[in-house]
Amino acid sequence: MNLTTMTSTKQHDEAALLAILQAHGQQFAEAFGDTSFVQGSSKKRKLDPETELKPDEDTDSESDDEWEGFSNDDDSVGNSEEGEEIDNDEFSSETVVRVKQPETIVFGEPRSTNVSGRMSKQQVKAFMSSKVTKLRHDDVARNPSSVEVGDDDEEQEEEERTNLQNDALLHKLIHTQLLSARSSDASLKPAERKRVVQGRILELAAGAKLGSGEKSVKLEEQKRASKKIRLGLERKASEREAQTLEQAKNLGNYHSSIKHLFGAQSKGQPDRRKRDKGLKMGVGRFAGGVLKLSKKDFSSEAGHSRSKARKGNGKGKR
Amino acid sequence: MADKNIAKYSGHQHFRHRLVLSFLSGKPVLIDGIRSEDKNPGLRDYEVNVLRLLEKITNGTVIEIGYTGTSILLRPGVISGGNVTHDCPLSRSIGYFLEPVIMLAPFAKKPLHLTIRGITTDDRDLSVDTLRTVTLPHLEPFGISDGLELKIKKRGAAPLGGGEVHFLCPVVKQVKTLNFVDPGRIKRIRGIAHAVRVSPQISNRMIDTSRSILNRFIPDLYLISDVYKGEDSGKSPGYALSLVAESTTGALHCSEAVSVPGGVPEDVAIAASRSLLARIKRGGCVDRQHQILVLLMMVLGSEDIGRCRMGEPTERTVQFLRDVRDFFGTSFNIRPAEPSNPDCDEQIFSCLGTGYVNANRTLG
Repeated sequence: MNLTTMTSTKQHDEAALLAILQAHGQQFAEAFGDTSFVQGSSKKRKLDPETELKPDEDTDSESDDEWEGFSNDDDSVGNSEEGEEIDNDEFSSETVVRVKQPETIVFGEPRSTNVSGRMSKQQVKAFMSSKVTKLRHDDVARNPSSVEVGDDDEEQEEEERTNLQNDALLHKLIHTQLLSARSSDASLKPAERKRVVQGRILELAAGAKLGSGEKSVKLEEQKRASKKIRLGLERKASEREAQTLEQAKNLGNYHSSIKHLFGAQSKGQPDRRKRDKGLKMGVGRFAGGVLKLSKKDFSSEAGHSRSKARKGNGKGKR
Repeated sequence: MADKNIAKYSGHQHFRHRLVLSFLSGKPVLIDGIRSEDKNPGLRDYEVNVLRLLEKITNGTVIEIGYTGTSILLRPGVISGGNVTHDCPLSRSIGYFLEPVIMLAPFAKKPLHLTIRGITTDDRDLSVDTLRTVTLPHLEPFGISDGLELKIKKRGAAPLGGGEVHFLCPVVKQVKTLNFVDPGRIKRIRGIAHAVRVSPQISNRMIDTSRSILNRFIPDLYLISDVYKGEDSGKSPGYALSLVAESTTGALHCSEAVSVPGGVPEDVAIAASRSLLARIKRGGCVDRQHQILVLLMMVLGSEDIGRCRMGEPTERTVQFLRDVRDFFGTSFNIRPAEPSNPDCDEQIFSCLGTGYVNANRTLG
C-alpha cells in the first residue's frame, strides 16, 4: 500500500467518525432548540455551536463547568481570534468561508445594587452589628419566610417581640419623659437622686399625689429614725415653716387664699392619730383582761363605710 | 529578682506572643539579638508601639530597652484594662496591635475599652472586619462573649490611615475548656465588601465577581457592601473584600484580599474567593491565623483536657507551642485526626489546662 491510499483510507475512516460526531452535535444543538445547525457543512461548522451554546458573558466569570462544544484546547474567553482561518484543518480538504458571529462581551453593566436584598434587614443588622454575640444570630430560621418555624414558635416569637418592644418603649419613656429633670441632675448626691427617683415612681404609680412623691419618701425614711432624731427633725421643719410664713408676710407675698401653702403642711400620707399600741382586736378595747365595747362598736359593722371623722372606731378611748 | 526565672529568647520573630505569654504567666522575658545584623538594627517603630500599648493596658510593667536597641527586658505587671486610647503608626495595621490585646484583655482587672487609631485594612495583618467576624467569635466557646464588641467608627486604608476602632472586652474569671473535634460541613458564607474614597460601584463589582465564583457551591451566600463616606472614610482610597465561611459546628474559615494600586476589583474578589476555597479545603475547626489564639485559650483553661482539631500547624504555631512549654510547662499532645485515612492531614491537639484564674479582676 502506498502512502496516498493509506492516507485516503485514513481520511475515509476519520470522515466517518466525524460524521458520527457531527450528528451527535446536531442532536445536542436541537436539544437547545437550535435548528440552525446545518447538516453536511464543513467540519469548521462544528466550531460554531460553541458560540451559540456558550452563555453570554457579561463579566469575565469562570465557566469551567459549562459545556463548551467539542473542540478546542485554546478555549479563550474572548474567542474573537477563533479563526476564520482554520482551513489548514487536515481532515477536510474543502475550505468554506464562514461568517462567525462576533462574540460580545459586556463589561460593567449596572447591576442591581440590592444584592443583599435577599437578606432581611434584621439579618443584615445582626451580621454587621458590633456586638459579637449577635453575629451568629442571622440564621435563616429567623427569616420569617422560612417554612420550618411552626405556628407555636411564631406566636411565642410575636409575643416576645411585643414584650421586648414594650420594654424598650418603657425604658425610653422613663428616661425621657416620665422622670423629672431633677433626676438627671448631676449635682445631686446619690442618696438625694435616689429619693427623687423613688418619689417620682410613687407619683406615677399613684401612691402619692403629684408633687408630693418625694415628700412621702422622705417621711418614710424619717419614720425609721430614732425618736430623738425624728422629733428634732420635726421641730426644725416646723421652725422653718414659721420662718417662711413670717418672711412671706414681711415681703407682702402672703394672702389668706393661699394660706394652705404656708400653713402646717399636711403630711404626704394620711395622718394616723396615734401610733397603734398593743395588739388590736376586731372591735373594742381589751384592757385588764376585759374587752370593752362601746355603743359605737355595737352599731358599727363591717359593711359600714368608715370616715376619718368617725371617732371611737376600734379603740375609742385614748 | 529571680534570674533563673527569666525566659530568654533571641530574634525579633514571634515577638508579640512572647510578650503575651510573659504577661499571662508573670515571668519576665528577655529578648536580645533583635535584628543585630540588620542595616537598621534594633526594634522597629511598630514593635516599640506594641510595647507602649501593652504598657498602657497594664499597670506596673517595667520595660527596659538596651541602649543599642537590640535587646529588651520585660517585667510584666498587672493587666488593668480600663479606658485606653492609642494611636498606631502607619507601618502596620490595627490588626497587628489588636491581636496581643485580644489575648490579654479577658484577664484584666476591669473591662477594657480601647480606642485605637490607624490603618484598619492592609494586606499584612488581619483587617478589622476579619477581627470582628472571625477572631472575636473564636473567644465565644471559651466563655468570653457577653459585652465583647468591636465597633468600627472610621475606616482608614493604607498608606495614610485615619481609621478608628473601639474594642470592648469583658473580664472573665476562668476560661472554659474546649472540646472541638468535629469540623462539620460549611453551611453558609458571608462577606463584607468595603470601599473608601472610591466609587461605591466598586464594592458591587467585587460582590458580583465573588458571587459568580462561590454561588455554585452553596446557596446561603450573602455579601454585604459596606461603604463609609465623608469623614469616616479615612485619608486614602482603597477597597477590600473579606469572606467568612461558617460550618454546621461553628468552625470559621476566613479570607480577605485588599486592593493594590492599579488593580481591578474583580481581581480582588477572585483572589479572596479562591483563597477562601483553598482554606476550606485545608479543613480543620480553626484556621491558620487563629491557631495561636485558640491554643493559648486551651492552655489557660480549667484543669481538664481540652481538644481541638486543626490543620497542620504553621511555623509560628510551632514556635508558640515551644514557648508555651517554657512559660507554663504545658505540652500538647498532637496526633493525627484520622489515622486510617492517609490523605487527611488534620491533627487533634490536646492539652491539660493550667487552670489559670484571673486574680486581677475587681469583684463588684
